[in-house]
Order: sequence, then C-alpha cells, then structure tokens
Amino acid sequence: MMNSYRINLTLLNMDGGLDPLVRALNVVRRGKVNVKAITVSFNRDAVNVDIYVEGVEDEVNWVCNKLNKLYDVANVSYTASISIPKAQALLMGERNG
Amino acid sequence: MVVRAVDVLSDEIVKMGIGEIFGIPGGQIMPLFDAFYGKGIKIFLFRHEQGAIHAADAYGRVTRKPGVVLVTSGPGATNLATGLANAMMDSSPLVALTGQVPTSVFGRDAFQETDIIGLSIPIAKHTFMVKKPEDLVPMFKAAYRIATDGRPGPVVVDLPRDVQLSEVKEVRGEDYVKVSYKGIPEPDPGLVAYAVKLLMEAERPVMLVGGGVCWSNATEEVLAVAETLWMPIVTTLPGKNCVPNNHPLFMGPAGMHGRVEADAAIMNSDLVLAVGTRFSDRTVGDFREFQRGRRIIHIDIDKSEIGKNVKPSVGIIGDAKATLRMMLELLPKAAVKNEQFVNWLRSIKEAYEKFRETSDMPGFAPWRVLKVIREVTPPQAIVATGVGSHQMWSELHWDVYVPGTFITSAGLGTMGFGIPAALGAKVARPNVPVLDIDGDGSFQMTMQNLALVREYNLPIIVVIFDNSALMLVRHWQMLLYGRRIIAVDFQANPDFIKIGEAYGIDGVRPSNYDELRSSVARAIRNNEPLIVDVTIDRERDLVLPWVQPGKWLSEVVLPEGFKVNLRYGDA
Repeated sequence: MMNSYRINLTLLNMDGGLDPLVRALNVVRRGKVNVKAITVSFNRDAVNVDIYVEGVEDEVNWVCNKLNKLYDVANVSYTASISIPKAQALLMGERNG
Repeated sequence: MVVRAVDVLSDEIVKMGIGEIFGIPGGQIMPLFDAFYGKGIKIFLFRHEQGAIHAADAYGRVTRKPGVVLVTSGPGATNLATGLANAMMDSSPLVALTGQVPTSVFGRDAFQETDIIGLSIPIAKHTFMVKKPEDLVPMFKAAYRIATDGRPGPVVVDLPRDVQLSEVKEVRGEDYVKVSYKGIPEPDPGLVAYAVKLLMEAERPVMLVGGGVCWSNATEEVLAVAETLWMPIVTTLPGKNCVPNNHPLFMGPAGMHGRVEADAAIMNSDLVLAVGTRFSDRTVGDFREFQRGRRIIHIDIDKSEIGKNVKPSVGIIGDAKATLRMMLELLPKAAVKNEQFVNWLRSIKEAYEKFRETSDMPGFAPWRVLKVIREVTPPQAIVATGVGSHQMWSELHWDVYVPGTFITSAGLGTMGFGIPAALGAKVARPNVPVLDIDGDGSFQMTMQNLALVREYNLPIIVVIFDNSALMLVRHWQMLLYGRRIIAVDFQANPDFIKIGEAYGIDGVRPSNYDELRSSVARAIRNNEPLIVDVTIDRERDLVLPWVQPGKWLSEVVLPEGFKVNLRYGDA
C-alpha cells in the first residue's frame, strides 16, 4: 500500500563536500519511491537530510537498507509522514520577496 | 628535500605489503608512478585499463586482498567503469587509484578531465576525492580497508595532480578520515534457532550456495550442515566456486543455464536454505513461483539483500561461516535424512551425464572439450572464463574440485573478462596452472593484453571455444526471436593461432580430442603459455538445458533426445 514516509539520514561531513549527499541520492533514485521533498542542512560534522517519499513500505525499507550500507552514512531511519513541508528555498524566497 | 604526498603514499604502500599493481600511466598520474621508482613494487603494464582492472579483480578474488589498479585521468579512468561495475556485482575487493587534473582547473574542461567520482559513485562501494596532500595516505588506507569490510567491493581514490605533488607537512592517521565502517554483524541466535526448527520440520530441504560462502570461507560449514541433514546442495554461478563439485550432495548450479538436477532439487523442495546469495534472476527465474509452497531461510552479510528479491520466512543477517556454525550446534547429530530425495536427484544427474557421454556432434562438443581438459588439469589449477556460451558450458560441465579456483564474471556478464582475469590470477598464484576458457567473441575484446604473457612471464593457457559467433545472443535469437539471426555471426575472424604467434605464444588448432588433451597436458607440464583454438559448430552449439528469462524452472528446455521427469514422486 502506498503511504508517505520521511527518511531521516545523517551523513558524515568532511570539508563540506557533496559526494556523501550525491551518493545517498543515487541510492534513492534507484528505489521504487516517489520523492516529494528533500531538506538538507550542513553542520560542522554532519549533514542532516530529510527525504519525503511516497511508496510501499517494503521499498522504503529497501532504500533505507541500501543507504545504511554507505560508508558516509552515520544513521538512517524512516517514519510514517503525513505532511510534506514546503521547500525551504521557496520559503526563503517568499521572505526575501 | 620536499617530501611529496605521493612519496609518503608509495612508502606506505610498500609498508602495507602490497607488492603488485596493475595499470597504465598517463599525464595526471605520473607523480605516483614516479614515486614508485626503485621501491620494488612490481607494476604490470596492461594494454588497456579494462584489462588492468579485471586483473586486479581476479587478483583480489584469489588472494582475498584488494587488487590495486593505477591509471590516469579522463580516458584512463573512464576505461575502468566496466571493471568497477564488474567487481561491484561480484563483490570483489579492489582499490582503483585514478589521476585527476589539478584542483585549480576542476570543472574547466581541462585536458583529460573527467569527473570519475561522479561517474563511479553508483558502481563502486565507496569513493574518495583527495583534496589535501595530508589526506592521501589516510584515504588510501581507508579505501583498502573498506574494500574488504563486510561484503567486499571496489573503492575509487581520485588523485588531483597538484595534491600528488604537494609537500606533506603532517602525516595524518587513518582515523582522520570519517568513515562509518560496517563490520560483520553477529547473527541473531533467536532467528538461527527458528531457522533450525524450520530445517528440522522440512521433508525436502535444499541448500542454495552463493558466492558469499567463498568470501566467508564457509565451505566446511556448508558441507557439515548439508551432510547432517543429507541436504542437496545447489548453487548460483559464483557459488559453484565455493563447494567441491565432486561432493555426493552437490547438484550443480540452478537456473537459466543450470543443471537439470539442480533445477529439480529447487522445484521439489519444501525449504531452501540460501547462503550468501542475492537471488539473481538468472538463478531463480520466476520469483513468485520460487516463493510458492516452500519456506526460505536467507543468510547474508548484507542486510539490504534480505527481502530484496525474495521474501524469506527467516532472514538472518550475518557471516555465513558464523551463522552455519551456530546452526550446527543446534542441529541434532542424527537428524532425519531424506536419502530417497537425494537418490532421485542423483539418478537425474547420472541420466544427464550418460546422455552427454553418448551424444556427440560433428567436430568438438563443448561438454566433452571441458571433460578432456579437466582430466589433464590439476585440481588446484585456476580457471577463469570469458562470457558467452563457453562460460555457460563451463557452468554446466567444469568440475571445481578446490573452492576458489573458478573465476568468472557472473553478475555483470563482462565479455573480455577471461584473459585479464587469468593474468591477474597468475600474478597472484605464479606456481599454479591458470587457464582461460574463452569464446572467440569474448577473446577479441581484451586480447591485446596477451602482450603481458611474455613480458612478465605469465604462462596462461587460453582455450577458445571458436564458434565464430556471439553464441548466447544467437541462441536467444534462435529460441526467442524466431531464428532471425542478426549481427552475431563473425564472417572474418582473425587467425587466433597467428595472434598467439604475434605475442610469442604457441598455438594449436586440434583436430581431435587426443590432440587437445596432449597439447594442454604438455603446456601445463612445461609451464608454457598456449592458445588452443577449438572449432565448434555454431549451428549446434546450443547451451541446453536452458530456462527462458523470467520463467519457472519447470519450463526448462532440455537437449533433444534427453527426457526426464522433474516432479518428485511421479517417477
């Protein structure tokens, strides 16, 4: 059954490089899930990523298991999500405008 | 004197005991090649980067240590792509070091600039882009460790030229690099106990062995569990390499190009104990049918494999050896054995062998060629294969006596794998005979690497199953596309004996089996390289038994004239 989920991902941050994020997104793009939104924030040691997806729980689980294999993933989990947030960039744009 | 990053790295590589490197130099990797000068590392100069990485792959499979491949940026790096994907699919450990343009011109389309990290992320276990000279050694060491951490695989380390040449003021420890190592998960004792309970309840349990058994070194445990329950062993293509094929419980590989007794074992089982396999579509065919009416216990070191293709009754995340040992402690020594089921499967095996012994075809029959070569090849000899009909015949008819001696491109199906893989295996085990069972199509994809045979004294024996066609595609055209044969027949193949001569390698085109036997035996005895061009009639070279893609094993197409009942209890 199709449901909405939020995948929460903590990546190890080395010098603000994007490779860990690209690697993670490469896994997600091979999953049978529809991505609705992604939020990313970079801290000194970690990159926090929330990926809002629609899909069958088995497939979300597959994506999370694949993400968990990555050597720059410190933590991954998913929860059922009812609301998908508006994109941060859009919110900032609204504020600026 | 300035100590360059590459000097520190090359010293470290020597300290780590890495004695052999496969590669080709070029502008952006020259500093690292230069740093190896006079340090005693043996560099095998291949004639194409794809050859170098397949050799590193095979070296890793044989030694169980990562092979190291070293190439330049741009085309040097992109030529690794197939080899990376191949190593990834077959869980083979290697480290690929690629040169890169200086960081100052990143993204400016500099000469021979390619974003190899961007290209390789989906086909490598991990990647490192080294941006600071002091990161070079810790990142290489991390890459080397990751390659064999948990499930093995390839790791890429990209080295910009300015970073290679920069002075290192501080050598950082490996811990400096942030890596979340995965290690080996401990099997859950409760799940293991439940799996044993299911095994004890089963009437016709079958073990499906995958390549993970080799990496876990779990052959002994596989045989002990199978013998305790008198459970038939079937395998995947890589799993064929993990158990002695002359064991009485061995039924061979199942699936598309599998043995009929192995297909029968799975079809009639009420439980499959799958160990170290990802349930390839080539083995299982129809996933829904596979799961119908039978319980499945899946043991794998990789959590993401559990439930990926097949939903098991019990999924155990853990090392195959450790998990099977736990099972052995729980299994009663005098478990009930279904000898009748095994005897029935063995009767199918014997009937098929007898059929092959008595059937023949004009010229050479592929199954008989393999039997003849096996007779004169020592048990510990290593056999690599290309990809094509010869590989499938080898899957069916090459007997692996010593686990770890059969190297093939199973997951990616990379034509051209055979020659470089045989060279890599010979580098790893110079005192063991190494053969490449190849096809004429596969051979021509990497044959330029034969130059290494004389250059480095790597006497491999290449047996070409020469049907002048891309035979497996032809096979599908015949059986699935109404015999509309297109773009598979070679009208003007080169003379492979003369190709051999050009590289200083003797060749023979045998006219009968005795000549084939004596030529291979002589080359093995004298430790001499040899090219054997075995002519095979492409009109008759259909690899059967065969199961159509996506179909269930019961729909196996048998060779003409061979009949067998595959339903247990009907016989």
